[in-house]
Amino acid sequence: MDEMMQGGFAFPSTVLVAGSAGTGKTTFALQFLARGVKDGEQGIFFTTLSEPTQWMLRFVTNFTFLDKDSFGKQIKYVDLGPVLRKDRDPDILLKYIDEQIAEYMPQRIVIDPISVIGNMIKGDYRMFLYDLANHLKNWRAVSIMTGEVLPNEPYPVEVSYIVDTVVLLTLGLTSEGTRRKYLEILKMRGTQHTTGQHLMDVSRDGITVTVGLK
Amino acid sequence: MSGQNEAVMQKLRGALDSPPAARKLLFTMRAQSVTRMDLAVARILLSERRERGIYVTIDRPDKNVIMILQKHNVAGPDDVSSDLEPKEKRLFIARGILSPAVFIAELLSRTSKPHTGPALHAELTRMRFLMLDNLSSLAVYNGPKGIEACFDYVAMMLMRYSSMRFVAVAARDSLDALGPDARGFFNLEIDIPDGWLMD
Repeated sequence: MDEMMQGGFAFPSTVLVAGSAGTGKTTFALQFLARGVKDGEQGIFFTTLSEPTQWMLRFVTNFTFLDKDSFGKQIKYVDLGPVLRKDRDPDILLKYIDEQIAEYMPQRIVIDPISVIGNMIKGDYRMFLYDLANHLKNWRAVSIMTGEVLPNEPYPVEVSYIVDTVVLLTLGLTSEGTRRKYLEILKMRGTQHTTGQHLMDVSRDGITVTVGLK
Repeated sequence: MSGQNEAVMQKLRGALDSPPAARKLLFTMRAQSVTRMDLAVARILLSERRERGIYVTIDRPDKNVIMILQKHNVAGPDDVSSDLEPKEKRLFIARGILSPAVFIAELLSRTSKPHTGPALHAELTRMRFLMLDNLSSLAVYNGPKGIEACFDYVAMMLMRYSSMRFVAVAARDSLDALGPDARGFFNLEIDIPDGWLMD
């Protein structure tokens, strides 16, 4: 991945990781946070799905790349669900996100998945996304938002406008007729990057991209 | 706090205790640690030493800085002002609007105004530090002239207010972009090792 991006995501920057169900978006985000832990950084994982912490921990235990002990310490797990359900107010949600970031001061932030907020929030979702991106950019961190891809669009267009980088995860058929996962960097503002779809494997060790293998 | 982190805090305290000759201090580290270093320096100056001073942020909203200081019990709303008029606050937070030179020039010129000037001058006289929270951003938004002007105005400020010291925090990989003279401006440069402030 670092090779594709000539050293990784710019710091600070905002990233959309988009894909349909089962393409590895959450795994990508967790691996991103785990890498930060190895570099001595702090991370916040904002979930919008209100999954219990123990459920996330069960998911995490499947992977070898993330030290379970880092969850709750170097990686803070924050559920946005109660705030979303209670008020549905974009300003209250932004303030809550800001406060969590100010308290924990992470270098890496994940919001997984951002698409849920669009269905729950009152008012203009695009305006909220614009404000959210500006808020995240002001915190000096690399922020990943994961986005669900709908059948009628290649990626969440409304999110792609506001981020610096768009990574698209897709499922496709190889020439032998088997279904495989692919990773493509659609956009990376201000940085050279490798284009095109590249074969991607998800295992207990995390995501492995084979650059050049299509 | 780990032994390494405490050692770094002691190093910071020592640097901030430097004799008057070393009034221009630069702390460098990896880019990802700059915000935490800003907080560590502010904690020493404001919480431990109860000093008065000016905190300049080039490209962050001042409300973000205030929120961090409040969340970490470094300064509360009663301590902070973001208003250019004298307010008798311990900390003045200024958003540098990309160019700290413009802000410092404005501040200096206001000390000469007939009505508010004397009070502002008195307040600045009691201030002990001028802090720039991310020197790396200076090169992002300013060319060589803008960078030079910033250091010129900082020097002017230190000349007029002899109790004030200049403290800047920067990503070490950004220093080349500031030009060959930037490092020479500082009396003391302290590099903070990677992995600092993990806990």
